Amino acid sequence: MFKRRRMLGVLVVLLLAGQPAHSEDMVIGVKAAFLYNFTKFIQWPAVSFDADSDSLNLCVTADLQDANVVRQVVRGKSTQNRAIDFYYVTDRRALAQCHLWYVSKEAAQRNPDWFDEARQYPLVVVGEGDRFIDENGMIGLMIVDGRIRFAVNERRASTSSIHISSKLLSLAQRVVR
Amino acid sequence: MRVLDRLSVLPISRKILLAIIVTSMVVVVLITSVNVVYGWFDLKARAKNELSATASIFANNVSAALTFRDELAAEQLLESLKAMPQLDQACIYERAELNFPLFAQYRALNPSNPCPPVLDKVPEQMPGYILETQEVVAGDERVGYVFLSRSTADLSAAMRTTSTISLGMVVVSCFIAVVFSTFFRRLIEDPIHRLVAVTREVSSGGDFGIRAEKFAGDEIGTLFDSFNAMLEQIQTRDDDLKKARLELEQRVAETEQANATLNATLTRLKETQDQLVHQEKMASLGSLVAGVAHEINTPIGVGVTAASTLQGATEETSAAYENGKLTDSGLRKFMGTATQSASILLTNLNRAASLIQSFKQVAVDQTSSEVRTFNLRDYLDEVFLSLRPKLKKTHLEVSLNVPEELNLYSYPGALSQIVTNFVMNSLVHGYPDSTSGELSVVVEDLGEEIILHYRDDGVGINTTDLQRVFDPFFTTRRGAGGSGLGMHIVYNLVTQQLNGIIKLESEPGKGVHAMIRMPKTVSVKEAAV
Repeated sequence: MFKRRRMLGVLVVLLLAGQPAHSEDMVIGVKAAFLYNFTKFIQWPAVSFDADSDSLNLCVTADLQDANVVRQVVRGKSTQNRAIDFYYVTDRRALAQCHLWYVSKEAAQRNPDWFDEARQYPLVVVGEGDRFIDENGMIGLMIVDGRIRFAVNERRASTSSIHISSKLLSLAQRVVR
Repeated sequence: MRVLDRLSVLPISRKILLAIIVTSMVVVVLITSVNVVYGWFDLKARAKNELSATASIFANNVSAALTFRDELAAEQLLESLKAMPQLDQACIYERAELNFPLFAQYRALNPSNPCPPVLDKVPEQMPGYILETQEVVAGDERVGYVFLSRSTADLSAAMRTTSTISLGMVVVSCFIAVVFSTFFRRLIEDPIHRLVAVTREVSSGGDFGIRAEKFAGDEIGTLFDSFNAMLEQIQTRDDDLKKARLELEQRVAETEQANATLNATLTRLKETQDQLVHQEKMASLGSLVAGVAHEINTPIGVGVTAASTLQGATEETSAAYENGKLTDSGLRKFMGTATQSASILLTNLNRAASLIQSFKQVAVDQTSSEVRTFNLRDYLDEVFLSLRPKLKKTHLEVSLNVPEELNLYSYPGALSQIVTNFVMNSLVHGYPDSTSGELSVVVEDLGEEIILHYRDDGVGINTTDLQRVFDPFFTTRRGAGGSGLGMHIVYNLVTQQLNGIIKLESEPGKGVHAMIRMPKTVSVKEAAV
């Protein structure tokens, strides 16, 4: 009755996402799955894509090891009928091509000026911690009761003409409107 | 048919009442049934649509929770389904490697009826429940399924209420039908009752002058008009009938009177016929007497001549004797004359006596109805002897071929009359121009019976006349002295007196052949005349 497609990558992600984040590898894996899942509930403005066939660019600025975990998770994936391309960003100017940018806590502290660059584009900025959304980002990842949760600054997203689904907002620990 | 037969004996008011109630009941029950059935399916379809819409919204809402595996959020969303108390189960299934295990369920809904552990166990149909399964899609990926089930108990309850109300409406409709039909049936019933009453009055009293009073201008009104018109027609015809009856009675009386007159005339006619028959018999006898007279005249005349000759010779001889002139030769001549005269006289007188004797017998037989034994051949000889004067004038030969020892015990007079009439008819009708011919009588002895054949070879009788030849007063020679009774008398004598039958055959130009079949011994009792 129900079709079952083996999409091993996704399943791995989902299985990982269901587990409490104990080890660091496990945590970044779950976070990568969250990043992928966020793309399903976010609408970018039309100017973000030149064509319907354009891929969605997921950018990461973090440890190379973590970045590789994310790359593994989103490899070959698609969302909203667009393929997902992974970029490891080391230059702030590269942000212009990104749609979603994950910046680790360390990278954010190291490059605070990158956020000014990020504000110029309709770019969903995902960072670490509850306070991240008050400072620079739009979505902040955190661990609550051993599970990964997130907070959303919807106001900032709206300023960048980005629409975050209410379904996603309903799951958020905190929403700034 | 039995039902119709039973219904047909009901009074018309009952029939009208029954027709209205049955019709309205059938219509109301039909409409109500259709409404109830349609209502039930409509209700189920609406419930199904509602459930489907709920499942769709719920699947959409739960997609994020399922994507992020947020059970808490999923359970919060499930809580929102409290607003639908008719929901029995709400189950969320997540996508796993092999199948779709249960992710979350709304426990508060029905603790005794938990969700199936995997999606494969979810039934497609369940009696008394409406089921809905929808997939949960996030982005362009199917992340799970939601399954909702809803009891139809509330729908059944609603339908029960509707059915009860509908049943009530049927009862009320029947009641209203009874009330209205009771009111309206008078419009039909009263005029019909009035018409029935008038009909009874007319049939019992026989007064066709009564008229039914019309109520309205509808079909029953037309019936009244027609009935009245019919009564008028009957009245007119009744009057006509009475007149006709009087006329008929008068005509019957007239007819009876005419009948009586006719009967009297008929009686007179029969008397006249009898007289005529008697006269004809007498005429036949007269003819016989004339013939007899003529026949006797010759021997008597010869006798007279012989006697006169003897007288003259005697006187002449006597005078000669007185004068002494009687010679021997004269006496011898006288003696010769006397002897010859006496011989002639004797011969002729004997002849006359013989004739008289025969004629007397025939005459006596013709006038009497005496039954006696007689020799047929001798008797027929005598009859033809009596007819000789008639036959002499013709060129006809007569031949008799009768067995010698044939004796009959019968009515010879009747036989004489029959043969005489045959011969007379042959003479009068058969040989118009005195042509020559032959009459023959042949008798066959059959033991108990004889057949007498009488034939002539004259002109014969045509077919039309042959059929009427025995009818009384039928003659082709009425102006020439025929009475038309001769052959009628023959027929009566053969059939009534001789107790025989007669048949006449003839064709124009081939003569006549009459056959009489009769018993040798006639029964007197039968032949009483």
